[in-house]
Amino acid sequence: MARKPDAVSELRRGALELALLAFIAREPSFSGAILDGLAAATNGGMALTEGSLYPALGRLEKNGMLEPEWRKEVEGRRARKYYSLTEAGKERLEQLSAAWVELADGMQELIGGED
Amino acid sequence: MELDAYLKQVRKGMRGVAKRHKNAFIDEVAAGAEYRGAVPAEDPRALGRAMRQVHGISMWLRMFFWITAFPLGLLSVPFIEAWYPSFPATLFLMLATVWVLLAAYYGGRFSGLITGISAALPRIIGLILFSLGLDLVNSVFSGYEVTGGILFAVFLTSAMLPVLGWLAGGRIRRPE
Repeated sequence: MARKPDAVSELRRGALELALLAFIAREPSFSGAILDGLAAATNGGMALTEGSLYPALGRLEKNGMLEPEWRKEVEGRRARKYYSLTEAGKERLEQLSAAWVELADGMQELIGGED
Repeated sequence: MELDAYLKQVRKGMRGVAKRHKNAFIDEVAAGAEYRGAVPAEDPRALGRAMRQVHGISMWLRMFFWITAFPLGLLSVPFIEAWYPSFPATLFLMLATVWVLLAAYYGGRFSGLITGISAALPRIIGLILFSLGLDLVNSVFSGYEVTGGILFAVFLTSAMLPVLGWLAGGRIRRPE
């Protein structure tokens, strides 16, 4: 039992959802590659830990945004769980992207307007 | 920490989650650790608990909470004390309350609500029966007097159980 999520964690969660959907939209990927790839793609801006990645992927999968597929690519190695976007995931990505651009533009204007 | 020991702790953190979700997640963490060449830095039990928040508890465990709440609620009906004066009905009410909170903690809002209703149901039935035959009850059990205040208190504590389950289930912190 605990507190209600505050505005910062809500914002973080939204950004994380968008980042994961956008990353997976490039090509289906698995958790280890997402962890490394997302940090590299955002210049460390979205460096995640397993503790935030796995629950976020789990929520997206549970909400029907991601489709999992187990692939065994190398003999003798464990199968990896690849995630790809579902139709609902693609729609969600479009919505979040549009909202993000709008927010970022507004913020930029606000910050830039100080000069 | 070795991978097997780590996974064992994750499994413990996911206690109550359906086996298929648990096994799939353990396999995913193991594959991730193999790819990165190290076990996750995250506390394994906390990781398991976070995943339990995502998947919730299994239907069997939910049903276990719902079903066992009923006899707990039944034994908490205070009017049993009319027959057995030393019967600890209040103790069973406290146990039922803890049970509802546990169901809410592990299963979330809906589970807390249903478990609360299951515990409240026998109390409400007892309340209705005693309300209808109040004069008869008071004349048969001369040493046990039921007043309107007692009936109201029973109603209030009964109604509290599902409300508590619902509210407590909504207070569980979701993983970020």
